[in-house]
Amino acid sequence: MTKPQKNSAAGWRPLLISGPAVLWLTVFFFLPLATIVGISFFSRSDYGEITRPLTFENYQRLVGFGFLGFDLLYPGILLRSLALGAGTAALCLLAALPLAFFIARLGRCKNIALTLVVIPFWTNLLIRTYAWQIILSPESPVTRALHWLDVGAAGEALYPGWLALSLGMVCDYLPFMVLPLYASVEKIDWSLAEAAMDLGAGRFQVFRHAVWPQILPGALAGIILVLLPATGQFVIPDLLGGAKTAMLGNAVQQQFTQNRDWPFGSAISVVALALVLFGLWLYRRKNGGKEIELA
Amino acid sequence: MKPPGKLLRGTALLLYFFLYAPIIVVVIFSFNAARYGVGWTGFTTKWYAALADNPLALTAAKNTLVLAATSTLIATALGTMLGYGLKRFYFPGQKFFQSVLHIPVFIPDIVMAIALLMFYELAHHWLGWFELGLTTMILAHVTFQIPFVAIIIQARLAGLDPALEEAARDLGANEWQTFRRITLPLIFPGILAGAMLAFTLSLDDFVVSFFTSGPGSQTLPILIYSSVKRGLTPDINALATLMILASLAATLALTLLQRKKAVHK
Amino acid sequence: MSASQNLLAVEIKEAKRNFGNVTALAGVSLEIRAGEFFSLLGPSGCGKTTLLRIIAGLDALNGGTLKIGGVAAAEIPAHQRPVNTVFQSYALFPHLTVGDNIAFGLRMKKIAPAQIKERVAQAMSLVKISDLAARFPGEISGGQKQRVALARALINEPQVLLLDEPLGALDLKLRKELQVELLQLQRRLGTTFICVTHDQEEALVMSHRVAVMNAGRIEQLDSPKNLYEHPRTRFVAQFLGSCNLIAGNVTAINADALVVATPFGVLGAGRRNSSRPLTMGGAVTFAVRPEKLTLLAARLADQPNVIPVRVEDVIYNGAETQYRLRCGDHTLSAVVLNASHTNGGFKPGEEIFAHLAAEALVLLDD
Repeated sequence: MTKPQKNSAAGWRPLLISGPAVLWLTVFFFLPLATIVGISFFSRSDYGEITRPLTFENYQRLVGFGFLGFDLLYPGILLRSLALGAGTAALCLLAALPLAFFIARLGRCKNIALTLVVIPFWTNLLIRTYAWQIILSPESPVTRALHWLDVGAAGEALYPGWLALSLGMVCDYLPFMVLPLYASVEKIDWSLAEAAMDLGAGRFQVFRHAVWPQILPGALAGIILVLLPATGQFVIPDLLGGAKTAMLGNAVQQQFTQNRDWPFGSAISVVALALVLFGLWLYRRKNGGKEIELA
Repeated sequence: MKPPGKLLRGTALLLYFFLYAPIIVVVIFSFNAARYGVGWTGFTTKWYAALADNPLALTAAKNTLVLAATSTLIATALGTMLGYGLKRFYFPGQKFFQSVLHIPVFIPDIVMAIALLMFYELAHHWLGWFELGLTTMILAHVTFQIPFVAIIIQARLAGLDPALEEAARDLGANEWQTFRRITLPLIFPGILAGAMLAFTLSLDDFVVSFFTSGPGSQTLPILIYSSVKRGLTPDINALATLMILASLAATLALTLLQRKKAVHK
Repeated sequence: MSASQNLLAVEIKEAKRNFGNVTALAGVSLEIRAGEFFSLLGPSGCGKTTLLRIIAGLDALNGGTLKIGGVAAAEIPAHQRPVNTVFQSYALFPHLTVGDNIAFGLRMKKIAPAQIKERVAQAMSLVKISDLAARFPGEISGGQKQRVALARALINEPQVLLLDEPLGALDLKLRKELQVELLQLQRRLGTTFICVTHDQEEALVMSHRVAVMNAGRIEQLDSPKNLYEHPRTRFVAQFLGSCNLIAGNVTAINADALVVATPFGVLGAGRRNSSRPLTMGGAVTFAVRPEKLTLLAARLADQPNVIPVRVEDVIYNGAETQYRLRCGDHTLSAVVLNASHTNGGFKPGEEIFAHLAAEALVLLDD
């Protein structure tokens, strides 16, 4: 019966309380975003400055209409980034499932096991990423073992490349998948699974029809938490991926450091931003208008 | 629920090992005597001693701490106010702001970094403001920290029985007293968790720092990145180990603190 | 605190409250006397909690007026009103000890610490929890929490104490115990108590007067006895205890009695307590409490208001027996104290007679 009451008497007080942060984010987040959206419609001068005319050329380049006719470079980067995000999300889901079930089935040690998953997240990403360079360097036992299994060329490091990139990405994003998935697995009503078993369903059928629907919300939240940041990830492809696996993030960085093409770099950023907004919008629609629970 | 079976246990242990492999490797190699490559040539602690004589590392450490501490302080204050304000008061555009609060959380670092860089560059070009340096980095860090803090505070407030604040008002507390005596102590664990997360995000951040830094405002992640790009040196492993240790200690402290609070409840 | 019956503790006129297009209060007027134990009774969603929250200042009126102790109060913020509330979930502050919870109100008033200490001790002994001062709310039982909530409110010596389902979260046995204690406490202190409850027995046991609410209106405001014996509407008749409703048409109107044709036959009834205009042939409804029916094995010659019935169901209930009786297409329920049975009661299928005394037929307004 108690209805939570919002103090709508208002006046200056809400402005005083929310105002500073709203102002801050408006100036240092939304205004800069508007800035790059604006810049993305300008051209680059010969000296690397932003100049007129206003143009859609930056976006045309992104979808493949380059100076020299059709060019697959940037559409390729776009698709590759999406594939990296989707692949990372899929691998993380695959790895998170056993982890989530394992933790949920532990007795008193649940919280410790969960904390152990989160701890790597609290340590620096850069450190965890370059460590894979050590692990996959030519002399390391891991590399030798993999060479023996005919992975990679003998005497050479296993990075940069897709294998190193995948390992680094999954290792980094796994906690983001485990947490929401575990929250769902914890709440599973096992009587449904038992009922299905009772009705003669096989192990796979039980999982498919009685368990999976119950953990789907957690999996979806996890997929969003991994897919969106992974698609725009810059450090891991930069350190473990190399030139052949340049992603959106690397392309942006290149425009701002080496090429000094700010309008085009801005355009790439705007596309990356649009992808994220689209993902969030899609999730909210599928999830009945609810936000992802982060806390 | 039945305890995990052998197969599940094995898979899980393997995954834990996978998660910790990079951390373990860095710690081990910080004690490796070899100057180049990863061949093990003997145990040493000399790389730690070398750090103390490395002015670059010391400056970077100082910058990192100043950056993290200052930005966390500002972001925790503003984020807490925002989380509280969004939950408890109505203002025009509130719904819209609530729905866009998630964007900074999910936006790729690099997009945020270059957006800020462009903004700073243009403002510098036209107004002469925002010379790149520690200040612009602090401004940038606060920006990505605020939403995280606000979201944690909101979650904490959502778990709070609204009758508690009503009871305080009923017992004669005005709005400020209600906040000070009831709301604040009850959301304090949330504030602490928010501050902790903000601090870690700042320590962890490389991309935004990299693009918004100026000469002389190098931080530890930037230092590590440039060393990795140039070819790793073993003292970086020692530095990384110290950073891992610091995060570990902080996480442990926070976990214990929250457990103590939980027992209290 | 004066217990004079002439003073009004709370005066509400035409109170209106909407939440969007849901009407919580549809123009409620109410006068609560100083020193009385007053209950707002009704099903959930009837507006009783909203009314209580409006008196407390935790919710605002959309229309109408509110006076507390003779002073217009609608614009006074909650923390300045001379009322205190015992919340449904108790709303004890989890981070403060029991002692600090109770002292909260006095601290807000900046009372001297020595005096606070003394009054807290008094309040705690008043509700018999003197040994709990150092405990946290998470460490005490539901009944103890209820007492802490009571002490925390009463220590401020409010003109009016508001209780929102004060015993709702407790088990039956504890509830009965605390009902009596609450009643004694109120009589001793003489403070005006306004209690919201959906439990009719609780309201009847504790209150001087009860307002039965339904769909944002007051259906009837009366003493517990009058409410039970002379319900004015179908809703009140059926919400308080169980009741047989008998519909019929008026066939004769006398000065102090009327005759009504009902599906059970022609019945004579008194016409007092009726505010509705009666017309020949007009439809009327009577309420008859099950225990007011007298069951007879045989019909006495010429006794009026006796109808032949067949026993359909018999439910033995310990102290009493419930009967479901059929007469044509209609059923009646009757309750008979087992101690009053001379022959061990009736069996299902038996053809017997039920006597509906004219005084037992309560003419309803609707």
